[in-house]
Amino acid sequence: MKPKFLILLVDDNAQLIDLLQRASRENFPEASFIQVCNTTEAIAYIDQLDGDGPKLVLLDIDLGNGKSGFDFLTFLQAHPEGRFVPVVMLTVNQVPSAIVAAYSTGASSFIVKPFSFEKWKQYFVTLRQYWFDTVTIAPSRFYKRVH
Amino acid sequence: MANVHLFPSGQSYDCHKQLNPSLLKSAPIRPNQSFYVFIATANQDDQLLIAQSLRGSMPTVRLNYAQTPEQTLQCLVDYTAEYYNFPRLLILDLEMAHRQLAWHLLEAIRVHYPTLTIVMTSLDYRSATRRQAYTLGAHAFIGKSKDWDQWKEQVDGLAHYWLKLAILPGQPLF
Repeated sequence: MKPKFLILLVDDNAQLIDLLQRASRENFPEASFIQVCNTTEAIAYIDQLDGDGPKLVLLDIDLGNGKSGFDFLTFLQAHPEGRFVPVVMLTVNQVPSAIVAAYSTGASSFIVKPFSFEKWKQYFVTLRQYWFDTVTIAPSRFYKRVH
Repeated sequence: MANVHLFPSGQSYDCHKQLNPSLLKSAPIRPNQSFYVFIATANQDDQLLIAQSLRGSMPTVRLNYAQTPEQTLQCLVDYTAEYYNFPRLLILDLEMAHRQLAWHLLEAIRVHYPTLTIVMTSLDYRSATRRQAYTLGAHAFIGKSKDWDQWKEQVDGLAHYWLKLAILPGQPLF
């Protein structure tokens, strides 16, 4: 049995994690999720890690409260271990400048959010095939940081 | 810039050159509904496999090929002036050159072409190798299975993800 694959979801839609858990149940059963709703929470989550961290980050660009997903992406890229965690940017639209900015800032890929439960289920087939079965993620080990 | 970009005097390289053209599936190319993917590997079997898999996911995908670091950089230089012909995705094999030169190539590409998405492949997927690949800017690292069928599945996974799901920078939106 393959180990659990922890995915950090950074999205201000608090209901999204429930949808993702249900959508991934069949097609990505190894996935487990933890959700934070904004950049501040995301940074606090990373800073309190001691040991293994998430294997993948799903990061919404528009987080509502003034800071965007790019702020957390920038933080993660500067983090000695966080920079090894692949980040998939999620958005509802395909603004070319945002796509370029995401890749330039260090995102691993950029994906438009599925718009239905069925699409999310299909999304997890591909996500699992690529990030779980195909890509070899770099090992990372986090240490608790105190600011 | 790395000292890896020069051909011997008088030589040039055709980026569209395929090693086994008769074996590759062809498909009509419709303008504005395709983009280039750049396959940089010295392994002819891998080149063929990746090309077939990419075309399986996107029949209209257009492909560039290179077998050496010099050819890779030459092709990128050639296409810099042609926005719509510039590759959106580079599949770069670490075994294309000796290790230091291959790392140097990856680093040079990331510096000079920051929006080019790079997927690195290698038979060596030790921790240090993976971390080095990600540190130097690879967007993903694929440790190649030595089992051909599993390697084919990995390539299919790569092709499906990048050509059917992910949005690449500069990719025509259709």
